[in-house]
Amino acid sequence: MSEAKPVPIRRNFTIFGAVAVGVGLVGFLIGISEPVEPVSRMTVERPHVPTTVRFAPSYYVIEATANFDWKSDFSMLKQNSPGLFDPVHRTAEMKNDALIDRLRTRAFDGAPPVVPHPIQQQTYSNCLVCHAEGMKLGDRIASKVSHPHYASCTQCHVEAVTDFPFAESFIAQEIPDNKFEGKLRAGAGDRLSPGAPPTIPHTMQMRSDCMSCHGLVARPGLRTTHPWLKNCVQCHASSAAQDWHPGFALGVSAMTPQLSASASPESASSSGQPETQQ
Amino acid sequence: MSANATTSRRNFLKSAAMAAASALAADSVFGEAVNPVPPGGNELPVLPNVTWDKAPCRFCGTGCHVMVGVQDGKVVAVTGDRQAEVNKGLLCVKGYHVGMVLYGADRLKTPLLRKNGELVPISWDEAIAVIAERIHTAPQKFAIYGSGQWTIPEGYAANKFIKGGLSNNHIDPNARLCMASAVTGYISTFGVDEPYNCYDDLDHCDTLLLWGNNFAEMHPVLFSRVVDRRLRGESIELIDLTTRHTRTSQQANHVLVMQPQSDLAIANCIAHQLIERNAWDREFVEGFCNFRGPGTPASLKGEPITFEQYRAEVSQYTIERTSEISGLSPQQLTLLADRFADKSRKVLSLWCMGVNQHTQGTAMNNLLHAIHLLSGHFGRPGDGPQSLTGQPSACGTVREVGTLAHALPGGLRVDDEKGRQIAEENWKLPAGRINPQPGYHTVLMWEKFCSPSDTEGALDTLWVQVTNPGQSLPNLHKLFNRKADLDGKFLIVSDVYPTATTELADLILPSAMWVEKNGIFGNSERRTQQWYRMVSPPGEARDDCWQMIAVAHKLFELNHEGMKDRDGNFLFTQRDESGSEIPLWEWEHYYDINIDERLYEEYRQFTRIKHKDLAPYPVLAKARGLRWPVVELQDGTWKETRYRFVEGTDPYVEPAKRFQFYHSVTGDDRALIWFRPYVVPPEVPDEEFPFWLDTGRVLEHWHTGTMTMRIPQLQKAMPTAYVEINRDDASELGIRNGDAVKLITRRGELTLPAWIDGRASCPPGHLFVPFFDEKLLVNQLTLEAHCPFSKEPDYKKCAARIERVTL
Repeated sequence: MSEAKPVPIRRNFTIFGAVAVGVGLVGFLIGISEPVEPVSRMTVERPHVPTTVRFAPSYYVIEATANFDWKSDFSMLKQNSPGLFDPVHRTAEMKNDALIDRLRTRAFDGAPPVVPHPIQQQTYSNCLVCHAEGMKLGDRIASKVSHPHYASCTQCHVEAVTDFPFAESFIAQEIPDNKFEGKLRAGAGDRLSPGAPPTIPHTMQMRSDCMSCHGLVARPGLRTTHPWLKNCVQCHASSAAQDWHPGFALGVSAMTPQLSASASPESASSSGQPETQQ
Repeated sequence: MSANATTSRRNFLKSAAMAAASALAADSVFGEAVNPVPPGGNELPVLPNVTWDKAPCRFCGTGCHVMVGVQDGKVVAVTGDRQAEVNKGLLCVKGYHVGMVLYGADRLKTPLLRKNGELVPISWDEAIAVIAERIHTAPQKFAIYGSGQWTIPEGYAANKFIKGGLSNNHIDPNARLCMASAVTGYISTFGVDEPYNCYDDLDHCDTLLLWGNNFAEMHPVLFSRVVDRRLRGESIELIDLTTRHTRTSQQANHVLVMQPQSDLAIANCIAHQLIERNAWDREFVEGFCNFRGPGTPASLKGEPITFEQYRAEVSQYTIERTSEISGLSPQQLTLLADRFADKSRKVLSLWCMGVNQHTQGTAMNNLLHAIHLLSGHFGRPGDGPQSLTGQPSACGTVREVGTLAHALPGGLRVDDEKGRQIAEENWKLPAGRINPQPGYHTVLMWEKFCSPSDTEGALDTLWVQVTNPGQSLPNLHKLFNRKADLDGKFLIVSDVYPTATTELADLILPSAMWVEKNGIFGNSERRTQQWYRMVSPPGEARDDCWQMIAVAHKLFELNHEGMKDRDGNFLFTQRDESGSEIPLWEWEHYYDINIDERLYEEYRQFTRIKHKDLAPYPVLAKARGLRWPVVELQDGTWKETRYRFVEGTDPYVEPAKRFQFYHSVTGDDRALIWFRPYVVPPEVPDEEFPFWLDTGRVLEHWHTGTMTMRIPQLQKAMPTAYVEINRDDASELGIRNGDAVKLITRRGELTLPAWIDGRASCPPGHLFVPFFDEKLLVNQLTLEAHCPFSKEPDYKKCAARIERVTL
């Protein structure tokens, strides 16, 4: 009987502990969650995407940079990347703009973007000067490489319009129109419930570094509200359609069963749901 | 949604487990099988309502696999196939945009016949009848000019039609212009064609030696496969033996700029040094090699020589003399020999057009094999000589199916009685049907087509499929343009877009392309790759293979004896399950069966003759390509071969042999170490034409640009041809960057912009022009001189003059 006494204390302690952890967890979740702002889902089956690429200006014409009007050299450029804990302002319009801006340089979702500025023709070594970590000068962003395990940048990324020294008569050739209509993007990710982390609505192929598009120097409309959490896939599950995925058949050679399956119909229907940006 | 998430997670685990199991079951006999799960996992983009299927890329010989996304009957997306061993999910900029090749607004959609100088639409029935009548009238004045972009069944059908049906061997492919020297090189060295090794070498080599090969732009995915290893902390040495400084040179540890043609001397100099240093692999050479010299006069077969004779021959290529010929420093020549002398390093030599498009192309191929055999840098993964090809099925459709003027499927020859007998038996033909006289090779074929009809051996009707000779032949004025002034010539062109060739066509046939039809390609590393039709061709465009069968049947209806087999049946008879003949020549019935599968299975019996066994179609359909020989194991599974002639990986090498060249020229299971001398090129710069002119490709465009110039992303990045000129030469001639200049050779002239230190940089005295631009046809200037054995022309060197012009 004498042992009965400590029990309520222990129970109270447990309850207190659970409440404390619970409050902490809720606070944490609120802390990392985005502003509650129900928005209608953007239809991106084929939005109007300007066919012209927005050219990246040279640094000497960006007023906000230290090099404006050639005032200093490249190494003196002052970046204005936001801080890790700076508040993130993001609206549905900003997201829409960012996604459309992203499509300006791509033929379809998954095509390598063309390069909106002149490049050094003979080498790719200097791509990473700006794109290794990404940088922001004024409102211009050099995005961080999203697939750092590949080295030969110019193999996939070509200039949007090459900066030739040639006379216009050589370059301005009439070429036939191309009627290819690329699939642009799938739509937003799914959420189990309002406030739950959304699933990743796109493939991770060539996009293994989330910070390339969602990090500190990404387009404002696509930035994460919680850049200090580094392990994105801990909470954001891949929603890529894998129903088709045959894996590797057992055997001595790499073979797969016949492929001809569609992307999962579930993910197709889920894209009809309204996006709840928490 | 949660159910959805659970499902996909379960599938993920399942696929991960299967991947792991497959890794364990993978070939552990020889090195490691490399099948990593790539970064990002094996998933595809989530695109609603999009179906995905595999296909090899339409462009080059690398043979990357792409996943093609189709929605509502249109290709809407393309992604790298991460289950493909070749590219492991990566593509180049052309590959990512390959889906767009189908949708150029000016796709050919209806047959067009030239009447009174104008192209007018006609029906397919009329088109087929016109061709059949021309052939029926003069079957021996007819020729087919085909392609390394033909699918295997297409090339097989064309070959059977002309050689087995018309008893006419005038069929040759554009691959003659591309890898014929590699073929003669392999055959004269190993007795059988095609690389013994494979791309796995790229994952294992310590030194990559590039012989005149701008690897970064020409085979970018394979280049990445090497240079990306550096990101993983591996140390790879890249040696770029080149005539100009390219993107490849930028990544090289050593850039060795040599004079054109001096590769012959350099290879011999390496052999000389190895012998002088006693650093050659005596055990390997004595066990597995014989020596061979060119003979007098030089021939493809050559004559046996002793080691002492070989030693004496190569000893003429001293460092001093070779340095003089090549422009390389003695240190650079020593460096090359150092690498071959060091058996601890795995040395991979790669080459493509620089070595093959060469008036000594066969010789140079022989020499590359020779230095690897002599040094014993052979047979280990990462250690050997390997030739690359430029077209997606140059190996599959040309080299294996034998769509060359002298060849039959399976490595047989028309001038060999036994070969003819086998083919006649397999094709159920009466004995003696196949003509023993080899047909015209490409250059000769076009010379004969561009000769007046009353000259000896002239050709009058020429059918071009899947290629653009009006832009890609050398010396176009002589070999192509002359057709316009001749009477009685009839040029038939099956293609997908208007091209430089359709300009002179009398009949244009609109073709289905790539995933608009079933297909099979064979890539550079002996990998046979299958795909299914995914979308419909536009308008009235139809498969090239259907076109050939329809013409054959029209001839059959005209009672042409050759279109019957020995039982009187149509040459391409296919029957349904009930045994009744399927009217394949009627388009609406063409897809009643999978004709690709039928033709492939018929062709497959040839592949076992030279131990190039292909997998059955259903097995191939499940794989991302399989490297032949593919043999069935006791458990019913099929095993591909990564290294031929090597015990433990090649099923045809007998136990305890280590290496066995079982098609050996000398019949003793040995390969040949050739000596071939340095020969001065047929045209060299002189006072009147003081520059070397080189031609080639750029990253964005593939071959004659008919496809890539219709993809805006690629066209805008590289809209025009240009002439690359050295900075000092330009300033001496008063040429500024971007100036219009006139380029003149003995064969023609061309005005185009000059680009100094643009995409690449030439050394003084050298010029380079890419050949993709149909408005600036550099092949009006090139030389048709060709290798005496492979008949492959040299597009890489002729003499030119350059002048500044005011526009």
